[in-house]
Amino acid sequence: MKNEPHLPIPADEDPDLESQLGDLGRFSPRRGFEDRVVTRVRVPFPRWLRGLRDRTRALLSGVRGWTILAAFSTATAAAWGSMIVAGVRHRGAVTAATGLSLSDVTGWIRDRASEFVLVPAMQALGELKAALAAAGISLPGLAIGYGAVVLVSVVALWRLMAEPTRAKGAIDA
Amino acid sequence: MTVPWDLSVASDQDIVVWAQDGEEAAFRELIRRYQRPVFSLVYRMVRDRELAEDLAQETFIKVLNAIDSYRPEHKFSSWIFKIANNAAIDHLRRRELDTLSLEGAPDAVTVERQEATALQLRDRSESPLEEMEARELGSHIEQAIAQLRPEYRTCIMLRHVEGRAYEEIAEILGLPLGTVKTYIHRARAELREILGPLKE
Repeated sequence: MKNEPHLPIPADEDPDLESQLGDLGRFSPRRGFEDRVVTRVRVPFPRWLRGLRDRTRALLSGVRGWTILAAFSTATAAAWGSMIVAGVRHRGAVTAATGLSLSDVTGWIRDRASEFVLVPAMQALGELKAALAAAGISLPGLAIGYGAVVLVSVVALWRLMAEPTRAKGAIDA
Repeated sequence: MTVPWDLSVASDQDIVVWAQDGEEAAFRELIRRYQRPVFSLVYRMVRDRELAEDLAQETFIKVLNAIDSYRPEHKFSSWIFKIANNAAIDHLRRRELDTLSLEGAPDAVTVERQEATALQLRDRSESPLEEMEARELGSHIEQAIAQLRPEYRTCIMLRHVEGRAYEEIAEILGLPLGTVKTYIHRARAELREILGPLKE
């Protein structure tokens, strides 16, 4: 079709047709249309959260997973260590503020550990020993076997993770 | 920018910004605003209620999932109408390709094979949905519009039902302004021609 930009806007040539066209209404979809659409739409995360994610990604791009894990573990250990050291050094102030002495806290921790960890662990160990004895396996033998399996798994995992880097290096070379 | 309680008074541009910020209420407001215009356009193009609903739904999903790529220099309405119109046109093209012969497949040599491949004509008794469609699209003007070429139909709908400016229709259809004016001019002439005998 020819482009005709000079053509005037069509005039109201037929009032009857204009009135019929003017009477054309809108139709509505079935009830629940809005919900049906919303369930299939991915609502994005808030902008600030996406910004934070992008900045983190930019910061960490090129950094290996093991480095991040090591940094995170070190930071967590440092935070806990600092807290414990500060708590021990200023135990007088902490006791005055909370009404709890260091021995109260350690006693509470020891009691909880004994109640929820040590006692159930000893019970489980006893049951395991009995089951192993019934099966004719000694506990040291099982520990050595388990240790060997863990060692082999770690080495295999390490080799698998290192594989793509070596392959990439081989191509680049 | 904080989201107000009543979104119905906010502009499309503001609502899109809130939607881009992950506000579900903004998504819902856009659907509420455009569900009838989009559905009406598509319904008049394909003339099948259920199919029109599917295509309208697809349009919204496509638009809202790509809300981050929306550029505020364009009108939101132009963007959504463009996608709705493309969905309807694509469907009409596909349907044209899929049209079967009433007599059965051309390679059907036996009577059984011809019967098996022939297009099944609808029974005279209409379902409630078909009755509703017949009521909705059964007026003379609706039937006349149905006979127009799809691009003329879109122009007439956007101009007379949605009240869009010629410039916006040109943007929606990706056509020069002059072409849109010509389409509307010719569409009206065809409508007069179709409706003429009915007046007498």
